[in-house]
Amino acid sequence: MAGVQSKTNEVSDRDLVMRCQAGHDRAFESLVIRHQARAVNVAWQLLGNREDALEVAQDAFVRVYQSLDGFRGDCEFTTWLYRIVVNLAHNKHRWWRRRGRAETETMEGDRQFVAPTVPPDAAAVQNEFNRRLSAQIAALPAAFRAVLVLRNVEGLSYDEIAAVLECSQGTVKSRIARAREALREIMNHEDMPKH
Amino acid sequence: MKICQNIEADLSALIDGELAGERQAEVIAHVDHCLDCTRRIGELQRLASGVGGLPKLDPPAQFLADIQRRLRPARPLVPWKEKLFQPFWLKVPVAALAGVVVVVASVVWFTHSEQPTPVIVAAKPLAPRNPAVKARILPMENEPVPATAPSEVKLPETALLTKSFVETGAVADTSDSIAAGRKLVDAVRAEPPAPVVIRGESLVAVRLCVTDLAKALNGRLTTITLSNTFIVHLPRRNVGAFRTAMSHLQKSESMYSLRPAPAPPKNQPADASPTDPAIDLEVIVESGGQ
Repeated sequence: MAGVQSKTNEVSDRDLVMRCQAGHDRAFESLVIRHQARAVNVAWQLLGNREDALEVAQDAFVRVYQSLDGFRGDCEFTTWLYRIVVNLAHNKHRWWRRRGRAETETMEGDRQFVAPTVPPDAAAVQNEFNRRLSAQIAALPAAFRAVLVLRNVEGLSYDEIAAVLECSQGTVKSRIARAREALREIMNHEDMPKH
Repeated sequence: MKICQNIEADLSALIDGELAGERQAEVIAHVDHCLDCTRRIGELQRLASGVGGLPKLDPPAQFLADIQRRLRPARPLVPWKEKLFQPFWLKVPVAALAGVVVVVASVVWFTHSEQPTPVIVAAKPLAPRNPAVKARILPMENEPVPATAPSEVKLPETALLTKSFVETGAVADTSDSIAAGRKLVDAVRAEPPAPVVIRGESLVAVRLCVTDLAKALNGRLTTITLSNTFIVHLPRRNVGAFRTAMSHLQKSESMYSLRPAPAPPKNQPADASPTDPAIDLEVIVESGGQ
């Protein structure tokens, strides 16, 4: 099964994990610094709420730390980390459902959609599109949302996504197609910005 | 169009570069001639780039510190020297005491390691003693009993079985078990021989005992009569040990008889010593009802 490759030329993730397992806490700090951005961003895209995203990302690293002794290197470290983040985000959604909280957090107020250098008119159109797109992504089933984020935000291949979600490549392909088709039907194509 | 519905998933895979080979060529050939699919691919690409272009959230500066603060109660980040030796007032004396205990335990273990480990010959628990069957070893009149006491008999190397009868107390259940007999012999032949006590609960068991005991004492069981009489040939020097063992085996109920052995047969085993004439030890086993 393919893994998500670390894109760094420094000490490999595998070496850092082995140092962690040997009791070197500095190696764990290096792992956190190296991968915190992707963990936070995936949680953010899956949850749409800043505080919850940071909490889930921190939970993921805590779980990594506590489970490092059992990590045997069957997959890449990043694959393992993505899997933990996705599962924790899924748990957070279920926690929301149990407490009657709406799953569709629109991210409004939490994010600045378009850089201030963009002309005001174009920025307004793009902002509106992003806002609607974020709301529709949040309304997708968790399995569809996960494959979309891993593919289009993190840029993982179908094979890598299959490794993260522990499913077949065919399932990934099907879910991505259905998720995009659902978004395409919901989002009126006239609303999409023309590139 | 039906053909368009069949390639929905492939259109998405195509824009992701996840199609290859013949299927990729088929989908591209279809899209080249289908305006609907061409438009759909454009929409899917804009959606994909729209999702990828959503603003990102950067971790705050204190992200690592927050994680470390959460981990601290579970596993503090302290140097190994500190983990190993501090607090000194507690860990150093405890470590020293543990070392002394280990050394003393090792010495004790080595000094007692010469003792053979008792062997349980059979795992099957002992059956209740059958009161209808008992073994007796009857003495003969004018029996030529050896002058040496059993404790003074110098046992051969393989006779540790008998010695263990007297000294220790591992129990071997020989009741109706061929495996038990094999283990018994293995125990006697082990280096050093393991101590075994035989407790007979049936005629078969007693026969096994007598047979193995005779082997251990360089003798052999020669005859079993219809009246449950066992005849054993033993070297004279081991008769005392045999009697001790058998009396231990059957305790106060035991009776025995000894008589001089007849002339050795022609097919006598080569290992029998000509300078150590054997005698016949006749062991009579009777049922309680007779």
